[in-house]
Amino acid sequence: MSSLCLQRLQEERKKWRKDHPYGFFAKPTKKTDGSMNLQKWEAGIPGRDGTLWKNGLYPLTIEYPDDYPSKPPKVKFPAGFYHPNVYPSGTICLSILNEDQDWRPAITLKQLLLGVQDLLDSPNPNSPAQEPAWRAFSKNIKEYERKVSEQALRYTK
Amino acid sequence: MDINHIVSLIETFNNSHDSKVINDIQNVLQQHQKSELGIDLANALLSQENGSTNVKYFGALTYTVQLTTCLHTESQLWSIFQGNLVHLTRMMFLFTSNPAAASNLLVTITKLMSNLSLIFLTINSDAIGADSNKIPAWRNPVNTCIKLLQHCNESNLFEWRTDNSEIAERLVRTCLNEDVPYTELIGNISSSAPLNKLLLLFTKVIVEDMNKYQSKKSSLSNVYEMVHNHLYISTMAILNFNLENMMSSGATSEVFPCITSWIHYISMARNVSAHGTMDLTEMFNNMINVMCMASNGSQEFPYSDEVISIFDDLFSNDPTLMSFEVRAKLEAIFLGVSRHSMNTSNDWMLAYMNHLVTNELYDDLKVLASCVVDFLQISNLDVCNKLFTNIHENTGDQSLEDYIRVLLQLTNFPLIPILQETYSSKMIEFWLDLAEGYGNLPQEALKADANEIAENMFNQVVQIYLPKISLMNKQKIMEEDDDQSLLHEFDDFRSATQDLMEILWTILGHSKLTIVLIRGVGQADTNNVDLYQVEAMSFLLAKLLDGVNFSQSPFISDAIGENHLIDNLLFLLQTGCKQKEHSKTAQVLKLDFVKATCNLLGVMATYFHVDSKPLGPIVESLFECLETSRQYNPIEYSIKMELQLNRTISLICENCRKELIPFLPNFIQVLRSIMRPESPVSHFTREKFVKSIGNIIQMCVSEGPEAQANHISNMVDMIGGLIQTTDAKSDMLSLLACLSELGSGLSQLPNDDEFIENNPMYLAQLPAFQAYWLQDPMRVKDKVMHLVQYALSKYGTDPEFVEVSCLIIGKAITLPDDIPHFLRYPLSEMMSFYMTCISNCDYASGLPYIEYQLEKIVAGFKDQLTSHEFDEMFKQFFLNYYSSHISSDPDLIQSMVSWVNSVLEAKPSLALKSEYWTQFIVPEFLKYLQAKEKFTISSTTKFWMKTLNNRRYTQEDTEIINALFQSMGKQLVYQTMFSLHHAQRSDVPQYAELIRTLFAKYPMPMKDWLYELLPQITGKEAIFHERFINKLTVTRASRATLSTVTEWWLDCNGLPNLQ
Repeated sequence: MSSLCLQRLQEERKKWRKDHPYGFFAKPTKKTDGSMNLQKWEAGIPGRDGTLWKNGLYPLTIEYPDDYPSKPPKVKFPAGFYHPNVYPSGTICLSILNEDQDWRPAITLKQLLLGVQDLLDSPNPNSPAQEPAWRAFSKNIKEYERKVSEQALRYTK
Repeated sequence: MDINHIVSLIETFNNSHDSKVINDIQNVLQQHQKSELGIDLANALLSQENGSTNVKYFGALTYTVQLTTCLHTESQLWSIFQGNLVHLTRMMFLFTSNPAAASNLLVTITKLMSNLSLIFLTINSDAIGADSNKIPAWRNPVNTCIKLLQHCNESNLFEWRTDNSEIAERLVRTCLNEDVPYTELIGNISSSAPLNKLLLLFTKVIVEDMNKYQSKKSSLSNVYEMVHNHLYISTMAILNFNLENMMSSGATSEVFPCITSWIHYISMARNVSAHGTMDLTEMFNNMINVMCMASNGSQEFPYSDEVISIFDDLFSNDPTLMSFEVRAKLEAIFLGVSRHSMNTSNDWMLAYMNHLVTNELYDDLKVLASCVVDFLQISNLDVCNKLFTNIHENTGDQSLEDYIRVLLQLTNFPLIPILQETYSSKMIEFWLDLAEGYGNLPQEALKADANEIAENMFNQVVQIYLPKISLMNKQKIMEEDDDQSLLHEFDDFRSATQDLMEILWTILGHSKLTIVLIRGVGQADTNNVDLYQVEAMSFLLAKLLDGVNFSQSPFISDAIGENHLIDNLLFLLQTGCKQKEHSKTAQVLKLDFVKATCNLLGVMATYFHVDSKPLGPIVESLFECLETSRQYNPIEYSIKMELQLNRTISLICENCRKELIPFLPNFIQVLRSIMRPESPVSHFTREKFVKSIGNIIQMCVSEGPEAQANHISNMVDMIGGLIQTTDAKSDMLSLLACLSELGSGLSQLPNDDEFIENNPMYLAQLPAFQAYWLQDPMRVKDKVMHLVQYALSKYGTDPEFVEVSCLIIGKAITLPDDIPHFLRYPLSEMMSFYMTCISNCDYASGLPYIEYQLEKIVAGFKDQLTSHEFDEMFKQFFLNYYSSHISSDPDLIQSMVSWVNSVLEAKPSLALKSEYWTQFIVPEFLKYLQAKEKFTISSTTKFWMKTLNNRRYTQEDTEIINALFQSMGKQLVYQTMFSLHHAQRSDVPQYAELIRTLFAKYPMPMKDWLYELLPQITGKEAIFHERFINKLTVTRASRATLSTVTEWWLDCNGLPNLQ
């Protein structure tokens, strides 16, 4: 890991601890020797109140590449996560996470996670990443809502 | 330009409520502002003797519009500059003469100052090296103002017009860069409080604009230099004079916003310019003196809150702006001790805190806490080194001990956290950093007694936080204030404390932290238990015990077994679920009790491998709460409790299958109760409960397969009985889901080797169970099949029923062959079921679920399937519906292609030798390359890639494909390139991958075909495509191919390249 990457990740951790939105969590994972792995984080995003996603706390992993912040981190839900813009592997399709689109080195962890929370209830049908959720969202909203609600129960806070 | 008409328009614009009128007037006024007469208009409006505030402000705003959008020549700039200075001087004179009467001028004065600030930036940005026609550099706007004002008086006020060249031209030029000595400056501001106020405002506006424009303007380095050499000196003189005279009657509060703006400016400038660094020591020292001012016998602290608020901002953003010496002084004032051996006293701090607490000024106390903790963070590393290492030989141990003692006292501030004090929550950050700093120190640098110091100190930290995170405090917050944000803040504080404990564990270990908490939860018997304390400790323990291997940690397991931990946890659970309370506060706390218990019991699930005795009371308690939580709690809370309880039951069942076998009858009894139609328990809970029972039944192997089958059969009968008697569609769907969950519960093996090692009996009996289920003497499979068919006979067109039914019948397809399962249906029976299902359901909505099962069948039965069976499946599930449904629906096309893809992945020869391969699949799938839907394109390109390049091909398969490519390769390339050319930007990557495969497999013909085909497809000559084709021939990597193809696509479509 470059010193720029390390410095930035330490800064991100500090900033997050000092100021993060309510109900979210994010922290570096531990390596097998117990030391902190700043390049891989675990995080949780609460579903926004008043949406189908409420009551759920959705787990994420965030992997920072060696050349972060020039390149964006890879943010993933668990494999099989039901959402039109989440690939079957769990990888999230969001412009601010895409190096070729809206990623900017100044984007903070807080902005990223708020962006993902926003995406939960505002899927982008023009960027489908998985077929079942996209199809249901586009053509059978009842089924989509049922599956999202079931998923919220599985990830209950 | 009719000025009276414009004045009238401005007044109407500001007073009207009709949006159309406002819009129309705005358009007209903007045209005037941007016209060639804009500067004249501004002058005219500002000169209106009796003009209203609106009119005068609009005049100043017109100058802004001219400055920002219509500035073309140096003379224009000069006119605007002169005008602003003339009008500003006149208005400043009016204001300083009679501030009360002229107070409405302030808004216009501020706007004129802002215009001048922009002019200051513009002139000085490119002043150096400029020609003689240019406006000279403007060194110090404050001095210019003072000098101009000295020439303005009551008798000549009417002469201050822009058309009076004596003033606007000669005087302005003379005063522009005239120096004002320090004594003169101080004389001016000390004799006129209004002037003092205006000058503070002016210098503040200038640096705020510097901050605003620094990212937008590229060449500000000259401006930074000008500020550093001139404006900074005047401003510091004014600020320090004000701070030194704060107790006098003329003191102005304007000084603090000005200080804030200057700190922000210097903080920014010192990072971008060599002239950005400016010493603020004198100002900070003066601020500290002002902060410590007290009057009325230490009853009043007139400026402390304002100074502390500025320091708070400083320490959280750019603490090193304050020099080390000033910080050392402040440390002594804040803490009463210093790490730098100075004479210290914090009498002021104690008096101030006492004042805040006595007068319940908790918001100010929070700002003070934030300021102090941010301040402490600056020196965290230094504290860490001095405490634990030999690096600083001469550190006085006593002063350091005192220092830590004060920090611990601050952490333990004797008020309610979050509601009244935030020291405790803010200090978490400090202790976290200190603990991490300690953990990162090299062993060789540590003092001999470093461990002892750390353990002692961090033990005290733990003891401080335990009562702080108690829900008793949450209760007080809720009783005191209905503010949701305070509750959120308290919950966050508790989470942060959990994180702190995790870090402290690395220092204190299980013996000094985990065990202490376990004993804390379990020390009292249930007659004498402090539930709040049990909850707080359980809350922290859940974090510390997560992931602990209890069988390898006997000292933890022993500690759990030695006391009343489980009893007290269950007492907490029962209180949470079953105590009837009516207030919202009590309900919230009860839910927190349930959450804490459930989390801890879930984390401890593997502990019951070591000692299964507590399982009985635990399961009983969980069941009781599950069944009765709705009797004692309003629905919104009972739903949440039910989810928590259910999750814990699932976790315990998953982990303690074998240990729970004796309790199976209890589980069944509870299941019967919650499955009753009138039971309020949710469908989700019922389904997951059935799965948990499935987990236990899976381990009922000691008495042979028949005994286990009996359990399964009884479960199926019970669910079946309910299916046949229910009328409600949603209930029936849930009952079907219960059957599916039962199947899941019996197919899940804990996926670790430990399970296999610990359950040799299970392994040894696998063949007997397999043989049993092959025979299925109790006809369980048939019973399930009938139940599914019964449900489908009622609701077979509903896709939700199709989905669950398919899941039940296909439950065992993907299980390894040697794992017995009661739902392992023969292939023929499954095929027959799915065929009936497809013919009865709504094809479009049911196909995706059936197709998913067909994919699993191909993967699971590939060795048994023949091309003939492939043909049959393809015909029955797809071809028969092609013209009526599939051909017009891209989703169904995608389902069909996906299924063929699954065959190509599992056993390609099934498809290649099919009679439909050349008749239907190849020609039709070629057309689908032109599809417009992302997933159809995706599955089709995947089909062609799998067809061209497949590792599972036999020699014979490869020959078939080579022959195929020879006959239709050019057509495939045409379709691919044609489709790519007409695709959306976001679909380009999918075609790029196919092109890469084509080039890798058939490089030679590809090149020739592209030269021939691309001009036909795009209408552009071959030479246009030459670079693209040549690049493709040498490109192999996926990303590089994508970039090449995208570039070509952009060129062809006349779009600019992103690079």
